[in-house]
Amino acid sequence: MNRTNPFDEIEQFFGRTPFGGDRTWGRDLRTTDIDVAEYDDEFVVMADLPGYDREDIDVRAADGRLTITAELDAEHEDADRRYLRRERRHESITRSVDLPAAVLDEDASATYRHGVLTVTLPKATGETDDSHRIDVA
Amino acid sequence: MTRRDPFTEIEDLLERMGEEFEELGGTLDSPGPGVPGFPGARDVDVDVIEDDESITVLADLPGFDADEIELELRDETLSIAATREETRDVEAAVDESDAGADDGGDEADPDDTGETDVRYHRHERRHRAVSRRIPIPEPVERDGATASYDDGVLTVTLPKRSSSDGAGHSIDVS
Repeated sequence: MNRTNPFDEIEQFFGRTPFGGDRTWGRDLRTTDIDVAEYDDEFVVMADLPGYDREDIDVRAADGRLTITAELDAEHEDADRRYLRRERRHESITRSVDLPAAVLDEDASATYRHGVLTVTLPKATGETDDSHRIDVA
Repeated sequence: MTRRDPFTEIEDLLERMGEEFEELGGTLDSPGPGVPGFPGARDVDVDVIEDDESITVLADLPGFDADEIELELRDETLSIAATREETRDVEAAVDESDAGADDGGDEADPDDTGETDVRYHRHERRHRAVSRRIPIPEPVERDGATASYDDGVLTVTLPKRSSSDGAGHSIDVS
């Protein structure tokens, strides 16, 4: 049957807003901070992803849900280097967000500049539900 | 009519606790007893890495331009501050396509007219001004300090040295 993955549920717990409203959880519980802005004819999703390479960011839209994955290369351990503070994220991250309305996945575009990913998704008039990969320019 | 939402209260509590811990941490980290805690210190996540020659500070500052970032090294404390114009990045991404569709008769501030068309479903990236002070544990060569900004990460390299002076020194962000 259609069993749900417990990790998906945990992710949804933090990634969605099950209790309604523009609730913001503690910074450490989120993988990345995002904005979802709605304009007349499109949605613009912006995500803070400082320090990633453009080619290591994967953006997918499927079934009204946008998933952003950013892979971080394993750091080369250097015996001479000593961390006095280590607050920045050093792991790969994934964040999913439900889009408020149907979008044209195939016409979506994404850019990465100054550590901020911007995904532009034109609103759909009809139904589209195919998974589609969005190139990061 | 205002019903209390228990989740809001928990969230507020966590936020206050975080602020207090941060103030406490800032006081403990500060080089002298006269230096106050720094509000908003959570805004910038930093790594501080030491090797034989230098101390390197990495700071996450997504969405800023290099010239919007200010750095100062004074009294063995590195201060990082960044400020960006309000709504700049979102408006820039959308205004060009919208400008043709809207009538251009209104002479008002474009930020005002743009704001009426946008509705935020999530607005977590709201930090327009962030700052952080990081104590540097060893004397460093001020004149040899360098800084770069790539992919939203500021990297400040401070060469170590044996002697120290207390004058403030501004570091250019390249």
